[in-house]
Amino acid sequence: MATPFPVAIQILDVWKAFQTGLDVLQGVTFSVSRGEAVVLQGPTGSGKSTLLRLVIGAERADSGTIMVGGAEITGSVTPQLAAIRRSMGLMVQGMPLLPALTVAENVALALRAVKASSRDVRFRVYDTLKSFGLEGRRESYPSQLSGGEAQRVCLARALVTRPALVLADEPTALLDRATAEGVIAVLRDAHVRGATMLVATHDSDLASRLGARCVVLRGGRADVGGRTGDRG
Amino acid sequence: MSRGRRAATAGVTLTAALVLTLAGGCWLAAWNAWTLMRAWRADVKLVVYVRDTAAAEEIEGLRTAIGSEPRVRGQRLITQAEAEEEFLRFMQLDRSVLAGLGDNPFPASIEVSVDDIAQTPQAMGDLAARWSGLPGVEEVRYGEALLRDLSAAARMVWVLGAAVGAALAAGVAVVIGLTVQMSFGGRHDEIILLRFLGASDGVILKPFLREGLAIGTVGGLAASLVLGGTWLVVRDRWGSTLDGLLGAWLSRLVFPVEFVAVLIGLGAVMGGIGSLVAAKRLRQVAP
Repeated sequence: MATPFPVAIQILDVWKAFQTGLDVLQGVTFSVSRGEAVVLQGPTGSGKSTLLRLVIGAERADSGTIMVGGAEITGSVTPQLAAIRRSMGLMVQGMPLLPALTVAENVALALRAVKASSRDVRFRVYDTLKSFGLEGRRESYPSQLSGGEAQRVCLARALVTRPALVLADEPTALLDRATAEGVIAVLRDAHVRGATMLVATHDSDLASRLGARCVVLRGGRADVGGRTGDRG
Repeated sequence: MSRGRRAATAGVTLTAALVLTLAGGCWLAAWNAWTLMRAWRADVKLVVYVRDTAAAEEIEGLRTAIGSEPRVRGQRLITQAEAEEEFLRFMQLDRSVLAGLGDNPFPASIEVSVDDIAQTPQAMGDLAARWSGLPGVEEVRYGEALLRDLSAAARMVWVLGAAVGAALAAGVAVVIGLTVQMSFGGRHDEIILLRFLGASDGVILKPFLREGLAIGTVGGLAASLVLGGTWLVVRDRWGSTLDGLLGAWLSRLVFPVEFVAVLIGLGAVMGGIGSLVAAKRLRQVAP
């Protein structure tokens, strides 16, 4: 069996400009070690979401290198990228809940993507929804959910496959304090179980509550900081 | 599945069933027309007319020579007396009509039926030419023009039926393909999401392929039921009337049971092909 790549995510001198010509990322460099939690912070428009989209291959960097688990992310849809994405739990922009599917069906989509058996899908969807306190919402449609519930369903979908790498964009945005605490607890549990985390957020307390290292995006560059709290 | 999509799928299934019914109807018509032509062609016989002067041994020799041909299926000797009887019966005339004609004017003949392979103008012409030279033979006749017309008609019906049927079957693939393509559009968000989640092309394609196969299969089944049902109703309700009108032709027509399997299988295959062709668009969907 191959030794796991020690660096989960490596971002080297990544540049990205918007179509307007604005350089949102100007040589961003940092890495996330296997099992580590990193919180990306920065003001609105600093490129947090863009960077996450680059890491998952939804967009292509203008220059620079992004490696996930030792494989380069080029931004084109290949079987290799699909395999990398299957090892990720994603909660990023552009991944809404499908309005025509129930909560359970939405969560099951992630398991469908990894070709889980029907029995496994039933069991794991139930188990995950229960741990998110959503078991009573199994048959509800997204339009019947509150903002907080929808956010938790998105997170449930990201974590139902028990991914080795979790990427989340503003997981606690729009949530009341109690619900946000619940979401943070779930993320912390996943991290404690060994998942590597890269979380973009405005929430300045999230890093400490998650026991994560902080990377601040400012002026298109990354200010790599230290750990802000203890894990767990 | 949303109500709109359910309605669209039902509409396409109905369209596929309709087109498959038309295609199946064409093939069934072509198959039966061909079968009928073959049956009629089998009814065309070679008639070897025997000279009045031919002795019984000569006629027996003729029969032996004809019987030795590998393509000959059967033969029947019609004596002069039998020929006269048959003429009077056919014309519904009294024997007194022939009183002034002296000796029996009808020649003896040998009616020869041949197998499928020899039921062509060419093969029958060859046999006729060969037998014309045998001792005791006055002449050999067969319905040359009828045979030629029947052969040409059978070929034309077969080609036409198969071509129209094939075009309609291709139409089924196009209809289902377009539906699946529309389905791609309708499920664009789901495909994007599955791409984000790392689903392979196979996983994403599976439901669309299943949809195409299901539409085609149900369409084929519905077409079989419509055609089979129509067949049974026509045969049971109007069979005897049509037999009377058409001279027992209806009893010669068939609805092969295998035809049901062919229609269902074809529907499924066309549905699958339509889906796979439509799935080319899948590659364009990439977050």
